[in-house]
Amino acid sequence: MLDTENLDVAARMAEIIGKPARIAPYADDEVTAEARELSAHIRSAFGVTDNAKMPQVFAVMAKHPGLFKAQMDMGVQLVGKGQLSGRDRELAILRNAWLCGAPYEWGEHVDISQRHGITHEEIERCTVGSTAPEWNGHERAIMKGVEELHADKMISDATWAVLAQSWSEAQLMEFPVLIGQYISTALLQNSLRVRLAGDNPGLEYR
Amino acid sequence: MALPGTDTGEGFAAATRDAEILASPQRIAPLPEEELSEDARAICREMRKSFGIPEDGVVPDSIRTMLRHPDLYQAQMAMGMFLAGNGAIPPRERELAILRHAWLSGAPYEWGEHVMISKGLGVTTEEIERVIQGASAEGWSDHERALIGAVDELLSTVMLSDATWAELAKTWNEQQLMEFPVLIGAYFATAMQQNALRVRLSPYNAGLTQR
Repeated sequence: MLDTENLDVAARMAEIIGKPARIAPYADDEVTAEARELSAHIRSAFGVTDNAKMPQVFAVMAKHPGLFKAQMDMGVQLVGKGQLSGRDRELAILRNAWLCGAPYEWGEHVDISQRHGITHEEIERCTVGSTAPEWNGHERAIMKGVEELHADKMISDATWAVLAQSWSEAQLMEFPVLIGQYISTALLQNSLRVRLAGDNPGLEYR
Repeated sequence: MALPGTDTGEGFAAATRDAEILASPQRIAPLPEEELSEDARAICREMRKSFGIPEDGVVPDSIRTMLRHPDLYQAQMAMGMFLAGNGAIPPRERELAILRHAWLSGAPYEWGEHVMISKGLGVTTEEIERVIQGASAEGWSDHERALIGAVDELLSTVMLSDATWAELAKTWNEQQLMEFPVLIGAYFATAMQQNALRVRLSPYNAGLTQR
């Protein structure tokens, strides 16, 4: 577990993206048509319609097409066909990205969150987590649930009980898998030192 | 409680963690057998076929729980089948990494199942004990030590150090290097879900005390 309460954002950014990418992306003319199609598919599930330029992370993932497809299929299931509301999902992903110290994931989901009506002030609050006083009971339990999954790989009875007041069984089942998938993405993007997309400022973004 | 990854090895009481996860009732009840749709049975048959599990017509509790969200279950199985059936990392290395992850995550279901899968692949009881001790244990090759240490790093720093990466890259190609964090991530998802739902263990799975 990272100490994100006292996270030195600049140092973390330097560690992850201050050094060269560990796996070079395919050049534009090396990317297969199949990889382009997958890229467009996942981006439309997230509401991105401009597919003119493939993000570099996809040009890296295209080097392992089966893995890329398995990850994208899971992403499409959780986002496109998932049971959690967009707002709940994005609050959980933001808290996860912060706890993972994941510049790519954090920056991208700051943008996506805003499309779901999450405010700058709420985004800032996701860096603080469950102890911020302004959350309602359900939102606080989402924050706490992510924190517990990180620290204990488990959700406490108290947090589960609050989540179960608002969420169906399918939503409760989906929540730990959602966090797992975004931990997976953070592990990959951090480990590969994937370059941030042009306009993604990383962990400093709000 | 503190997890094994944070203050472990020997001080960690497997039985205490097993009880924390499993002594209380499961949080989502399995679908009763008679409520299983034909689609759900088909998913189950397909999954068994790809993992080479004999078909006995009985759908275990754990799977009947997952079938309360069939789309999600299918997506998880697709990921699992890809990593196990078509992944680039050799099975022995894959299982050593999953075992180390399951131990650090204090995940009774995942640990017990993968002790059995590992043994089927020739991993010895002594090596399973060594996975618990971690990277500093005597007897690992340099590559295996880097592999075990890499799981520790991913869990503690959400990153791989340059030294560990360099060691892994001596043996692994780009696809294997890319697959490794996703493998750990997928088993993270499984462990967190099985723990959080307090999914019941199969009768032959002894949880964290399995060797």
